[in-house]
Formats: sequence, structure tokens, C-alpha cells
Amino acid sequence: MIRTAFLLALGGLALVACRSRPPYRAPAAAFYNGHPQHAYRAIVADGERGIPPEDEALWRNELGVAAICSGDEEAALRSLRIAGGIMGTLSSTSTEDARAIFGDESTKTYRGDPYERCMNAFYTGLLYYRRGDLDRASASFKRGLLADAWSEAGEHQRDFAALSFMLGWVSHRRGKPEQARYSFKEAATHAPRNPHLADPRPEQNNVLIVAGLGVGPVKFRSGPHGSVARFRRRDYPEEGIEVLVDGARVGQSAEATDLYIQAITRGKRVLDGIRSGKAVFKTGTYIAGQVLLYDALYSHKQQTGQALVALGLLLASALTRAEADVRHWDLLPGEIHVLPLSLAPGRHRIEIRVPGESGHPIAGWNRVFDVAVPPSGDTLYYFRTGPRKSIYGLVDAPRAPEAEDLPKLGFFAPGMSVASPPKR
Amino acid sequence: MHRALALLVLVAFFAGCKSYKTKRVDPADDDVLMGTGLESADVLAISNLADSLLEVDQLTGPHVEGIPTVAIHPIRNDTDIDFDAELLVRSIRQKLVKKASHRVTFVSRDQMDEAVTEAERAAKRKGEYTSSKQEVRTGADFYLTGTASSITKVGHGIESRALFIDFRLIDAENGEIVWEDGFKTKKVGRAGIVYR
Repeated sequence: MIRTAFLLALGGLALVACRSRPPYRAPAAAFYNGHPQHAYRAIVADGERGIPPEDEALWRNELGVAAICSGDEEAALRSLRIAGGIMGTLSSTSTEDARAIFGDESTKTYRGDPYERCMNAFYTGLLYYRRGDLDRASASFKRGLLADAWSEAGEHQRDFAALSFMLGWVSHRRGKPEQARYSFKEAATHAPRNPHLADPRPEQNNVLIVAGLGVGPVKFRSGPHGSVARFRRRDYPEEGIEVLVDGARVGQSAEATDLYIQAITRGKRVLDGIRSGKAVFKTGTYIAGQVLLYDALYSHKQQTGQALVALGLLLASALTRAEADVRHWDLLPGEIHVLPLSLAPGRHRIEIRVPGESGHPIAGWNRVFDVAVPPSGDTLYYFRTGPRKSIYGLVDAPRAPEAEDLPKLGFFAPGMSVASPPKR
Repeated sequence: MHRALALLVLVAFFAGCKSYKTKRVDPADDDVLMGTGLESADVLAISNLADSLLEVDQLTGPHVEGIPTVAIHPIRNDTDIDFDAELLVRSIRQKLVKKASHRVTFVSRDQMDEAVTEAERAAKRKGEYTSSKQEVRTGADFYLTGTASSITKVGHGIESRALFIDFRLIDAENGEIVWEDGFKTKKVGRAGIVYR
């Protein structure tokens, strides 16, 4: 009876520990073939068909990027905010802990590696900035820097220069020059070859160009039983973006952050140790089970009990999942670039060209955007390059409500509440 | 005995299949997803600052002439938490309006309107706006402003966040701070083993 209970329990473990559906993968092919709108529609359709709860944050991150490249900023912000909330939740249930330790790690709620949490915060901050909500943009960039600071080994990370730079930029706009100077200095320390970071002159430059170039790293399994998660850089030819305004070259972007470097420069994770232990256990029980079974079957004595134990060990080995969780945010760029500019207010024609390794623009890789630089304040444009010589852009910002749009306030009797201005 | 043991083992392993049912809880209570950021209980606690505000002599004292007007400005978010500061403004404003009752008038202002509010105040002093004109803006006698700040530390799988939300009531005429109060909380959370 004990043996029966043992075998039933192992069977139950298998059911608890295994995923019922494969991990979510975004339709990256459509996106990287130059059809972000197709990818966007496909990702939305995936959601309508149902996403495993443990993959929701991953799905929403992919949806966010596809929405940005399709020009749907509001949907992107909504999706990324929800994903950020899931990714930022600290606690895991005991069930999740048990599943991760004893079973398939991809059954746990996806919360991303630190570089993915940084990018979620980065995109969220950019979108808030573009809609004029500087407080929440600032909070998002700070959140991203905190995500980058998580280090199981205890050392201080915080080397995501693009986030530091953006925090500096928004701090200047919020009237916090000291924070701005500190953040710019921090950014320049971690990306010393970028000439724009140390002194971007936000008081003079009224246009900030932010660009996502290429394709992000891919995560894969290696090591015994695939227990080790590693990253591989994906190749792309872009070295930056060159910007022409009304036919005249005004500058070229420079790298602030390399996402592959961010992905691989993490301390040793606790789960690496657990997976290593599981890999050893898996191998050990397999060998032990084989030896015992061989002895039980070919020994001159009838050893039914030993055979059952051997089968139990082999089953335990088969059910132990030592594979690393390799879910990752597929639609991320490979690098983040910035370029601050000073442009006269009014309408302009911005042409984006893409230089390659030679330093010269790659033939046939350019796109023109018509923009309207506002008469006061500043504006932020985001561009994304990708395979098939694609360039997507968020240019003219969502309009903030003007004073004349606000409802006229009449005289209100004491005790009456007043409606706030409508949000756009 | 053996059957009971087998059943116990099965129940233990299938515990992971248990689903969480939605249930109604008090906004003042914490829940299983509580983090180190702003929670509903914090928002309710912040709204209680309204009681302290309404005891200000310059607002509700025996020597106050007429019905003073307080312009409520948005709260400035200097934290690393992405939250809707308008929620805090609404929360405290609802309590103020509910309790003020014929004693104080409250109006909302966007941050851009600080200059506008001051211009209205100047116009009111000149006698251009009076309480009897239904169609004109109400000048403010006081501003209610707030700032949210945080101190956050992370390391070794632990996140610690201290949150400070401070409010000030400022005399629009001379810039004097006539009231100041705040809400403080600190939370420490540890990431589950699978997220370390």
C-alpha cells in the first residue's frame, strides 16, 4: 500500500508540475518581416483565444511593443502597465515555489529577467513622457533603475544608462536640475562612448530622439538536461540612426544601452543553483535506478521490492524537470540610442537613415516623417528599426488638453465637488 | 491507515490545482498581492488627513469672514511608484467636501492653473469676481498641495520602501503655510524563491 501511495504521489507530482499548454511565443516573424500591424493583430487574437495566466505579463509586453510600432500608444501603455504590475509583484505562492523546485519552471508566473523589467519601465516612461505626464514618467524610469539594481549576489548594478539618461531628462523638465545632473553623470559613466549623455543640454535642446535598434537577445537552454539558461546575441547591421531635418544632416544617434550586455551581466541566481541540484538529482536517480533494476532482473534471487524501488527512482528521474525557463521578450530591440536636438518650432520633414558598419547609410533603408515641433516645451520622438529595412516611428505626441478645452468653472456652493479637467 | 496515508499524499500533491475564488474584501485590509507600493489601505488613511485640515483656524475658526475657498492642486509624485496621484486628490477631496458643509469651498486645479488661480485671486481682490456671479471662476484663498516621496532599497531578494505623502495648506495671499500634515508608511517584502 505504501508503494502504491508512493507511485500515485509521483503521478500527482507529474500532473502538478507540468504545463498544460506550451509557453507563449509572440508572432515575431510577422513583426520582423516588416508588418508590425499584422503582428499586433495576431497578438491581440492570441489574447482573445486565451493566454495561460503564467504567461500574461510576457504576452502584454509583446503586445505593448507591437502596439508602439503600430502607433497605438494608449493600448501600448495600458498593456505595459499591467505587465509591469505583474512583473513587479514580489511574492510567489507556495505552489509556485513547489512547481519551480520540483517541476517545470515555465509553470511559474513570468516576471522577466531584470533587463526585461527595465525595458518595461523604459517603454512605460517614454509613453508617459509623450503624453505629458512627467511625474509618472519619472516614477517609471526610477522603477526601471530599481529593477536593474536587483542583484542576488548583492553588488550594486544600476548600469542601464538609457534609464539614467531619461530620468535626468525628465528631472530637468520637472524643475529638478540637481537630480538631472546626477542622472546624466550616472548615464555617462555606464556608456562613456556616447557623446550625448554627459551634457545633453536639455535647456537648449527641445527635441529628444530615442531609438530602438535591431533585435534583442534570445534565451536558450544549455548544460546538463538544459538546466542552464544562456543568452545569445542576434545579429543586425544597424549601427545607429542618422537624422536629417529638411534635407540637412543634424546628427547621428549613439548607443546608450546594449540589451544583450544587460541580459548577460547578472549575478548568479538562486534558481541556477536549484536547477544544478535538480540536474544532479535527475542524473543520479537515473543511474541508481538502472543499476538497481539490472540487479533485480538478472540476479538469481527474486527481488520484487528492489525492482519496484528501481522503477520508482527511474520515474522520479523522468519526472524531475531540470530545464531552465527560457521564456523571454522576443520583440525587444538590441540597443537603445538617444540623440538630443534643437529644432525651430513649426513643421519639419525628418528623414531617418540607417548607417551600417562602414559608417555609411545602408542603401534603401530610410524613411521620412512629417513632424510639428511645438512652440514651447519639448517633444520626444521614438523610432524603431528592424529586419527588412523597417523603420517605425512615434512622432507627433498625443495632444495634451489645452486651456480652452477645460470646462469653465462656475461658482460652486459650499459642499459641492468640482469635476477635474477631462483626461485625454 | 495505509489508505488514509495514500489519500493524504494525493491531496498534498493535488493542492496545486486549487483555484482562488474572487471574494469581496474591505479596502482597508491587505490582500495576498500586497506589495511595497501604494495600497488601498494607504489611500483610505491619507483621506483621514481631511479631519486635521478642517481644524485649521484660518479655515473654520470663529474669526473667519465669509466662506474661504481652497484650490486643491494635484499631488506631485516624486516616488518610484507609478500611481495615479489623482486618486489621492479625489480621496482627500471627497472627505473635505463631505465634512466642510457650508464652511469651506473646494475647487480642483490642474498644475498648469497655478498662474491662473493667482490671476483670479488678484481679480477677486479688485472686486471683479464676487460670490454672486454664477458664471465666473472662483478665486482661491488657499492652495492645498501635496508631494509624495519614497526611499527604496533593494538587495538580496528584499525590497524595502518608505513612503511619505505630505500635504500643505498655503495662504494664497502671503504664501504662509497655515497647515502641514502627512502620511508615512514603510513596507519590506521578500521576493519568492522563484524570482531570485
